[in-house]
Amino acid sequence: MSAINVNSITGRTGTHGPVLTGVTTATNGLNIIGGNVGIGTSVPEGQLHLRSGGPNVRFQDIQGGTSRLRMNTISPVGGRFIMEGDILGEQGDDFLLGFRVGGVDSSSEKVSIGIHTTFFNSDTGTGGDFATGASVCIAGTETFSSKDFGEGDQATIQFVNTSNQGRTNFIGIGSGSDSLTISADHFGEASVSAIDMKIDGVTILHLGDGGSGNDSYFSGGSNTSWFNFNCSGQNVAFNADDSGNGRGYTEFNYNCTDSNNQATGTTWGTLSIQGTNGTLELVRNTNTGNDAFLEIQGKTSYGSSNKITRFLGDSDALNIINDSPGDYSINNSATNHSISFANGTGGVFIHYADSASTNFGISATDGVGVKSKLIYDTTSSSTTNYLRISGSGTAYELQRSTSSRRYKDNITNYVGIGLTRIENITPKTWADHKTGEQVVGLIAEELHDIGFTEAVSYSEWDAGSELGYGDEPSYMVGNGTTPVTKNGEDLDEGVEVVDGISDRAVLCEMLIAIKQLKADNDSLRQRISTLESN
Amino acid sequence: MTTNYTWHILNLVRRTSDGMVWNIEYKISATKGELSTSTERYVKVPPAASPLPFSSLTEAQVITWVKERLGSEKEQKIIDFLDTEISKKENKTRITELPW
Repeated sequence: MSAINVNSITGRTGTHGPVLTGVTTATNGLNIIGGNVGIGTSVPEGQLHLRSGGPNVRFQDIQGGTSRLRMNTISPVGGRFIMEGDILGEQGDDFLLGFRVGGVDSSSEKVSIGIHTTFFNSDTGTGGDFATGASVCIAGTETFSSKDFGEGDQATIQFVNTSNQGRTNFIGIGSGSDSLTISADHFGEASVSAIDMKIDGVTILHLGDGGSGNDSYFSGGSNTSWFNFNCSGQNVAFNADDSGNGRGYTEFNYNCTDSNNQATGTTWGTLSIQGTNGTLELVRNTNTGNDAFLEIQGKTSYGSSNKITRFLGDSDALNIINDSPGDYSINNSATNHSISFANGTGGVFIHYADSASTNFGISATDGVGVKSKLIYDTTSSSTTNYLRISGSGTAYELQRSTSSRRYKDNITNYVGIGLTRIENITPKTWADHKTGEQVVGLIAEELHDIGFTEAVSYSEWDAGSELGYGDEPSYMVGNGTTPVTKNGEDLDEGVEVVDGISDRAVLCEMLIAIKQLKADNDSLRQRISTLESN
Repeated sequence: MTTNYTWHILNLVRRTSDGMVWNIEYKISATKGELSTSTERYVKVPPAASPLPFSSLTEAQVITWVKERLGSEKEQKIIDFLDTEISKKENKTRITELPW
């Protein structure tokens, strides 16, 4: 049949029969066998080609029946349903593909889009299955201008595996180095439940189901990162190089407070480190000028109840306590034995049973010195094992003074002067420069002046402001008497000056003098005896 | 095996009137393999004719001052002392521990 050009067909029904015999019948409607039909075009390019300024196809259901727009294909290359908008490339033309449900009770009616490999029965809403590789692609530079994807009171995007076939539901955004994937094994037949986030090819977050090879972890990679868990003021934070938020460098913050303001068991405030060695390491970074320290802030009150740190063994505890402003101590909770560190000139003390009578310490409160009433109270009537302070600079030692030849090398006889030297020594009495105590003895400088240097001890001058060092005079200045140098040189830092005497040397010189007197006495006795015998 | 000596400045004491450093506290550590020892001392330095700003001082500079002030003889005495201490540890003949 040749093509028929029809500009206008006015349908008729009833007894008048078909309008165009051989073209349509009352029973079968309008049939076109072969060829194309064009509306608005004389050259139809498809079997049905609508061409006009606004081509429009409308399906209007007036009886509440089932309206369908169906496309069935059997082609192995697949069927396509293509809608193109703005094919002239004009600006400002929108293209809309809409699925809408209207009516009075629209809130309970839903719109669905199904993608299936087999036919989907729109009457029952069943049939078909998701295909491998089936996808919805949203692309382009335009964005939704009035509605976000998924907006609405009950709007959801749901991936549900209802077949219990061990298949994995999967959501992926991005691919390769920058991606977010959410996958779930709905029935737990494989350990694949996970959320993965990757940036620059590095997995920064993996939340797995804990199965073999599927642990949960977080990695900052080479980028700035930090973790923060916050629940009703209980805060745990891991933070690395978040200086932009004022958090400095690597931090671990744990803030957990219970009603007793202390850690109790495993419920509150417990940091547990379990491993082969069970160690907690604080390591500075590669900058050797940086510190790595553990800081524990105690209460602002003072006293034995302010335990900043507590170490527990089999019984009792070793506590670090803030005793008073600026003063700290380490003490045994059972016995009150402690070591205290005061600020300022308070010094450092070892306390036995927290008694002032049994303390031993170093303090500058009443002048530089070692203090201990316990040492004074511990007495002896023995004259052996004197104590001696020996050394120089910062290397002074407390030594036991002995007399056994076991501690003496190169022993020779001392050749003293005896009476001649003794008669030049004048005992003196004085008031101690510091305590005012009246003392009888000898003056070291006087022994030095008569050449009795064996009895004089010399010390290196530890200079102060008197020689331009510092703001205070040397502790060796005493009452200000000019120091006498050992060899007559000018006074300077490190020069040896007269400082003390050796009673033993004086004693030895006296022994020699006594022997001289005895020899003289023996000689006189002999002469008297000789004279009397005559 | 050689012994390495490391000098560290522990603290500087200066006058409040003009900031002149006059006392240097220093520490010398000796390390030989896994053995180590150290000694802490101080030395006083006379006022400088052309003092440097305190903030510009470096540890290396101050260590130089210490060594100059000590002189080679005193410095060697300190080194000898450290060597003796290391030698004592090397020749340790006593082990104190329990078998259980």
